[in-house]
Amino acid sequence: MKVLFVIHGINNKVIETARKKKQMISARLGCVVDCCIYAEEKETGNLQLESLGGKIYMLSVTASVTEIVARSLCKLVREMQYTAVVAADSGRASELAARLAQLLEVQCATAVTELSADNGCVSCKKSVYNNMVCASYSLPLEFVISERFTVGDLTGEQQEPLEVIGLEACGNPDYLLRNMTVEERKEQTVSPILIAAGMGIQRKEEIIMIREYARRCGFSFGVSRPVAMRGWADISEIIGVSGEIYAPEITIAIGISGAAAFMAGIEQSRYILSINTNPDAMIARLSDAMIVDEYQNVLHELFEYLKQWGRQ
Amino acid sequence: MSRREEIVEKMKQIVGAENVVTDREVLEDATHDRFRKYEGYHKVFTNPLPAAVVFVNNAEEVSGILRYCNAKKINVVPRTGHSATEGGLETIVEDSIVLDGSHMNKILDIDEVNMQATAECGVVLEDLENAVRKLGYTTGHSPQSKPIAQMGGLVATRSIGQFSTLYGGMEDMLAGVETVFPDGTICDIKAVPRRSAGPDIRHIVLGNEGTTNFITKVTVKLWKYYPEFHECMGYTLDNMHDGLSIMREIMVEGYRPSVARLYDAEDGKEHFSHFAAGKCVLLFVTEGPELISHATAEGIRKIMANHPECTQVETKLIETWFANLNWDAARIEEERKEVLETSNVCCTTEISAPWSAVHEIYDVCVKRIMEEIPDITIFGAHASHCYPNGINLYFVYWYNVVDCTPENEITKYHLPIKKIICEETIKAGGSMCHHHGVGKHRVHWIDKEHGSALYMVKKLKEAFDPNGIMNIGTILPYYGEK
Amino acid sequence: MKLLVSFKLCPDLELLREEDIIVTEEMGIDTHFLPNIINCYDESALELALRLRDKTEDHVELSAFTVGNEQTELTLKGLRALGFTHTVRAEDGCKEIDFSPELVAETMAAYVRENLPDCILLGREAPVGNHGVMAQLVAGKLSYPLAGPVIDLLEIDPASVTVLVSDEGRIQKQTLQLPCVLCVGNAVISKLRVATLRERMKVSKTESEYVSLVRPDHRYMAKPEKINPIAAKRICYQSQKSGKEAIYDILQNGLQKALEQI
Repeated sequence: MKVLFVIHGINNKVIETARKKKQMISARLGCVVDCCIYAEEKETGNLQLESLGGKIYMLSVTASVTEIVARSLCKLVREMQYTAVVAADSGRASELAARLAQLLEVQCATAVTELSADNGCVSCKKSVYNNMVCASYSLPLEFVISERFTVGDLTGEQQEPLEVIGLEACGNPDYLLRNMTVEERKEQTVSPILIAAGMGIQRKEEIIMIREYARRCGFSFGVSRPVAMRGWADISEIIGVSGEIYAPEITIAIGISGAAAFMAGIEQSRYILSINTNPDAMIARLSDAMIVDEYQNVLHELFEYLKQWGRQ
Repeated sequence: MSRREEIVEKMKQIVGAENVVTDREVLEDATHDRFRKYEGYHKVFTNPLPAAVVFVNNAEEVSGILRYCNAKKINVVPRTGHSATEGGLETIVEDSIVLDGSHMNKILDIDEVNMQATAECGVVLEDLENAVRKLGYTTGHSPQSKPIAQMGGLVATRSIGQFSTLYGGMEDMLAGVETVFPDGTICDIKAVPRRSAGPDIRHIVLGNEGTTNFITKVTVKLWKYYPEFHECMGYTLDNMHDGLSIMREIMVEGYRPSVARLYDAEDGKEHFSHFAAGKCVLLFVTEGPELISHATAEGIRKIMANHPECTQVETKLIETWFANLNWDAARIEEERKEVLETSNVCCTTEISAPWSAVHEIYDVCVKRIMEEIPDITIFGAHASHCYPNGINLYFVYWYNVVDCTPENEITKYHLPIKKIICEETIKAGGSMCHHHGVGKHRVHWIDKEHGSALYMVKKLKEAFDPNGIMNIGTILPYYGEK
Repeated sequence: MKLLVSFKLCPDLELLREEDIIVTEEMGIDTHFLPNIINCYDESALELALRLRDKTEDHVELSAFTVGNEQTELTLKGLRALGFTHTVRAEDGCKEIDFSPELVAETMAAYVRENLPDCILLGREAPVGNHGVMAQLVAGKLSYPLAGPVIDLLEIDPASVTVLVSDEGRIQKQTLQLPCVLCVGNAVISKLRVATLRERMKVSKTESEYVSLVRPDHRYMAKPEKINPIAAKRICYQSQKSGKEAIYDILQNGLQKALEQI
């Protein structure tokens, strides 16, 4: 097997997560994993590729258009005879996987959470029905998937020598008549601790209070989609498949039920602590620990304790 | 010092500065309740701002404030959970005080021998219910507002819950109550099983809507709770008339399910379109000890078997609906967002009627409103509280607010609809208020509602609130300064 | 200009109780007892289309497309009342569609080839399958350009459409040549307006157009072999204590260790 791991290189945070995931794929499938990073030209210069190591194809595009990335990858996969492609979790990863599978005429699965080699084929799992059930798939050795892995501990640093190869983009998005950035990405605070607030929080003032607290301590802060949709937080603060994907060490999920779209945003955390009055909430099964209580009763104490780990 | 400043200063002396709030946003929010929710969502406030929202901590503080306001003729609007729907919490005169009991939130006693629980006025019903459930009991009270409404307000508005057909309304649950009158008198009506020591004075407190007294402490009855013996049943049928007749039959035959509900097709659409599109839905829940719950369910099933016009539906459909019935603060916020995006508003009016009049009231209200009111998106009703002598109708209406400023929404849509429902109900012999109270927007028909008995309502008000300082314009109309 | 909006009616899974999660023989879980809601991204797409029509003073003709059973008719009627002049339904005769996005995409593509809308809007992801690939599959089958995730629809003229797109948090204003497919993400608008009774009455005699499911020649999207109520991925320790005690309890049960590893 020869696997290509495709990363949308918007910043170094993505590269850091990709490093762990690459190693994981390699361990699970028992094969070499090369990377392809696609990004807009102005973004590629700042990426720190040393940590990722190994063979890296750099695909610089004028606009991050799925079709162009897919066509460029299709050519690369065929030329270099990769058997499988894994698209790293991002807003368009599933779209890209589906398109590439169509071009390569191979099997595809999206939003895969677990992956393993299994007697001449590859088994994978993904969450369906809003995270309530898990679907198992068996893929032949030639496939394209998009991933939503949970990153575990690294099994030791095995630094491969870095080899960067430039890759030319295929095609031209001539249908894109105008493309203008009207708002740049907001830098999310990178913190080992993420405070996530959900519908269980009953007042806007409390969301504001929790956000303020998180900011003061230098923690990341985000909300579930319904909270933003209520007008209690900015759309840019949404955590999950449609918003920001986080990989903090620790996530404190307050009043969060655990819908699939949300969980995608935090499930890479090493440790999830949820605070919820309902011990049967979906998040219970995805948490490492849960405090079954009104959040008001524990938040102050918890924040006092966590403060010392805040970013100074 | 202006009158307003003077009031605020005095309030601070009585309850401490930390309990007197004068922030503009808080005052704006205190000018209205859910009756003017559309205006509120648009941040339009038509009523004058109160001088302050004052949080009280005990009956003595309430007494001190009322004595002062009585002497200075300052209007006082009593409030606890702020979930009122009929304008009862609106501050319609300048420099009112909103007297808020929500900080009085201690459960004082759960008496397992005498099967009653005592709570301060600001205890959220759901908190009390959860506390007694842990011991295996229930208050039997479960309005949709359970997660928000508080004990004082529930008594003050003669609230009723979804299990009323078995447990009754607040008037059947209230054992004792402590309350404070405008002259500062604190009265504690003791909780006893029953008595015949003159008129039942609990009824001066029940449903007073803050117009004669401020409730500080409430004692309610408890029942044993057997969720394991609940039985749910559901049926679909083609028309409301058949459904209402069946409801009557079940009540007259002597069955007491905790839930007995009938939805028309329009009102049911939101909840039941996945199995009953275009149909009416009848549903029942029985509860109590195993033998009673089961016997009640069996009895209802036997009656239903004689009604081929009804088709039984799977129990799980009803159970799922039942498990997701209540609204909470989050749901209200969801509604705010939805209303602002779509300008589609939902309001309600609930009435009660004798069995002989309910069909006609339903028909004429549906017909007139469809014909006379513009921009209606849904007009429907459900019957959800049954009595041997009649039933309620809960009209639910949604409309798009079109070519109309937020402050005109009420006069263009809500009040004309209410007028039709109230007038037609009274004409047919029913009551225009089943359980939301009169508030400030059904006072227009209070004389017709009571007829010759209005004398008693007026006398009560004059006797207990001679200076007219308690919640002006509620239950009885306010015509401005004489 | 002709706009086609595709939507899916989904069971409201938020109302599903854990004890009711039962895997059926057709490889799914039984949700027939749940009320249906329009998939949230699709709801945004429908309202964005209506707002664009309002802006262009009716120069936009709207159609809605869905694959679903008879329960969908009520929603389709509501959409006709709101001004979707055509509503199209492919009967979902089999549980298969939940895990066959290509079957849905092929059916939609066939409709598009015949009716040639200028612009096709779809929500980015819908529950049950949670594949997140429908817009791409449709665009791929039609060889139409695809843009997204779209958060707002700004303008349309006979040759192009202008949208706001969120590219991993960066907001871009893109003008695309027509025809094209737009994949709607976390849009600024999330709620669909409501038709009045009179509007509904006006369309009471109208009906949806029915199309047959069209089976694709090739399927690349893998089908699940097995569905299981999710295995606990993590070991959840539940503390029933409150305040300080709960924190201490949780610290002992892994939080302390996790903090030390930071």
